[in-house]
Amino acid sequence: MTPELPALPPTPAEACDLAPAIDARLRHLFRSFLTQGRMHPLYLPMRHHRATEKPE
Amino acid sequence: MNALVTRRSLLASIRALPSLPEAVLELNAALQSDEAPVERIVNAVASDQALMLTALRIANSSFYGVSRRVVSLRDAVQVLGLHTLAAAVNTAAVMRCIGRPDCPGFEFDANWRHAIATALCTRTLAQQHGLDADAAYTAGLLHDIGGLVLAMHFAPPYSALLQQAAAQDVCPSTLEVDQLGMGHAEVGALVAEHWHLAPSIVQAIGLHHAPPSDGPCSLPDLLHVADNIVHALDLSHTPEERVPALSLDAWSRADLHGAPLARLFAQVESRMQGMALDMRCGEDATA
Repeated sequence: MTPELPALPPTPAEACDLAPAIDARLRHLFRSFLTQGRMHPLYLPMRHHRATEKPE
Repeated sequence: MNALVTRRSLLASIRALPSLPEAVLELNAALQSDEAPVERIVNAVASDQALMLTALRIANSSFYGVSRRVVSLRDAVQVLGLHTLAAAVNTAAVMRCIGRPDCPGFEFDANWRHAIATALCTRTLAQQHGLDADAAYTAGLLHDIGGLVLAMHFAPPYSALLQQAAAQDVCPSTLEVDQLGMGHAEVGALVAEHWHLAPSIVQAIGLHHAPPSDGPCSLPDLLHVADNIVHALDLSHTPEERVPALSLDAWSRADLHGAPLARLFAQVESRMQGMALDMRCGEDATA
């Protein structure tokens, strides 16, 4: 069941401008995959969501 | 396998759980009927004063922005809608039914935040796919109830398992079968059966970490995907939160991408804010 997708090169979407703390937290959430060079289907959509959401 | 936990002892603990209040059983039965008559549902909730007070409090909350005070259940049905009222009542009833375990490492409030958010997300996905939204909400709310039962009735071995998982930085569910003989998903399905919930809910809870590999889009698929989304939205606020493995088959069947997916993220976050404020996670629902 583990998403056995190959490692992907960084894309413009991944280079979304995120505050360092938000970027670090997101990478922490997806660490099971990123540390193994694998991509999770929700990772890029969530980065985009965090990059475009309005600050509280 | 931990000598303190056996399949027999797990089953015995599940059978010893209190039943859901009669009013909630009647409410859920009415929702499953073809007509879902308002009168029957209102009478069911009215028969339990604590649940009625919770329903009225939620209807009067700022989240729904009502211009006048809601003073009756019929008003609450008009303000919230029948299915939202039922969801709130189910949430309050389950929180009242299950106590707070004394299990080091088990984050009760975080688990409830995750459960409520998953319920909201699963219901939204079910509405989009034409599946039973009420069943989806209940399945989402209870999908990790097995973990709560393990924390309640097998606190020492479950606490040790949680600590080991934290030390190894892995999902606790990866250790459950080896150490306890049963995973929380299976325990949760047995609890749902004990509470006479619909077979579709029992199945979804049991399969929420292992949805079917083929077939049409189903409630187990949507619950599995919703659980994943809620972890990714980081709504539990725990330091060790992580996004679990995702079935690509279930993800494909859920057919989520682009703007609709972005709207779903925003919708769950927004509704979760209102729901958590109303339900006061971890507190007495009648307070």
